[in-house]
Amino acid sequence: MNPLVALYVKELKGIRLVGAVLTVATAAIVLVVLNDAADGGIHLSMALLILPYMCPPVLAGLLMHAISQEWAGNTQHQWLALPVPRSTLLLTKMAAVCTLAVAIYMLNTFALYMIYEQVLDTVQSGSMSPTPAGPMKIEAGELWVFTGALFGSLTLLLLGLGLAAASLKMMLNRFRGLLTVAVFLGGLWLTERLAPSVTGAIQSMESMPLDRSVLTAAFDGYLYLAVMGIAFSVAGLYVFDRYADA
Amino acid sequence: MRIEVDNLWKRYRRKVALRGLSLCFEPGRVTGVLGENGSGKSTLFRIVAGVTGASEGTVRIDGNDVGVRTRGETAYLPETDSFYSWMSVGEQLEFLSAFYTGWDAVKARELLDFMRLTPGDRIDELSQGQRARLKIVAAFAWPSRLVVMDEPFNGIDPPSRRRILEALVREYRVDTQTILISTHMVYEVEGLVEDVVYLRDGQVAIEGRADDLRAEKGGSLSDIFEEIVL
Repeated sequence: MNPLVALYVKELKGIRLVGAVLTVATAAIVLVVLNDAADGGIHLSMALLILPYMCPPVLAGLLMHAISQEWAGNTQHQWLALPVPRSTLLLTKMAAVCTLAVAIYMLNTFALYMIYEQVLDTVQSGSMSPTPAGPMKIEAGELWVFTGALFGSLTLLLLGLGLAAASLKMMLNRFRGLLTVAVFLGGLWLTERLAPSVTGAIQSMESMPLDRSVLTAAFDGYLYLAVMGIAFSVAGLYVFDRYADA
Repeated sequence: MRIEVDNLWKRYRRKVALRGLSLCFEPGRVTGVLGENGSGKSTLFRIVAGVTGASEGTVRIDGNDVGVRTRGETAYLPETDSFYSWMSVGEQLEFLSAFYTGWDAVKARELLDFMRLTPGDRIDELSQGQRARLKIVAAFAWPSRLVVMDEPFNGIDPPSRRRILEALVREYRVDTQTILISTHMVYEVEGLVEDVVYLRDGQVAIEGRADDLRAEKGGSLSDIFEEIVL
């Protein structure tokens, strides 16, 4: 087996319990919502679909737990002795958590897509009024892109912060919980603080023609969040490479 | 593999584990790294295995800095159990086999039989001694160029220790393998080590060929060790 695949499979198995709980919970929400929507109406239970989209903080916690578990379970000696770069060790953990994120996203967005298509059909057939804001401009298929960009960028940002926090904890013997909170709060503050300048820079890139439709207007913001997530991840990988000790 | 250690320091927050250690392990030989608890043996081994960084100084293995390349040629048995408790014995070995060139599944099976382990056993159900045996299987199932064994027999019942150690060094060892064994129970490795390094307080107290030391000091390695400790 390829070393990367072996590590990835190991990480997937390592988070299988939490992964199963999150996936089953999402699937249950999807089933309930689709069942209620079978009559073609709008139901309060549809609001449940927002819950799976709120799981990125849980995924960041899961990533941090997966890293700290190597030390808690005393497996850090075997793990760090493997003949792969240390960044690979962390990236495979991140890949496993991202796989879970993709599974949740696909399941939930499938339900959202089905319901939205049903609503669009109803509106087009004239048995329901368009939204108060005017005609519905979003195609059902575009929901995948819109929710994917939002969920993906938030997930990447929080996973990056989680990776940075988990790596910085290697440098301290005490106050590790406090450090984690500080990294998340500081990281989010920094993200907010840098937002105007970075977003402006992204907008000025002529090589990226942005369609100013309802959907794509938000994409530079999502791209910014993703870039910040990658930046935090790179910082975390660097610190881990230098300071992780068995 | 030739291992050159030069002015090696390892400082923890409230403790200095290694104090300017300089020594050389010759290739293809079995070296016993002996010393009391806290003498710096495990720290030295962790740095050689690449799982811990040095505070100062260098370790070069065949002229290379410790890194991905040297880790790919080193079988490291840490002092503590380092297996994933949710895996089975077979899964753990299969996982490791993905990383080490020349992993020999047949030899792994033979070693499992020799150590009285079965692939289906779950690691969290193994006794401490069985886990220690599994560490040895994982280290000798592939032709690593360097084997670093840190207190490898902790947990194994005394009557089995000598049998296992002799079998490893005499039957399962690849000829060119350099083996480093650390222990504070010197009598266990008395007849097997060719070279000896005694560490005390993170420094070399005595080093040399085992036979030369015995002739020079007029006693066994255990006697010399006791003399140093006292």
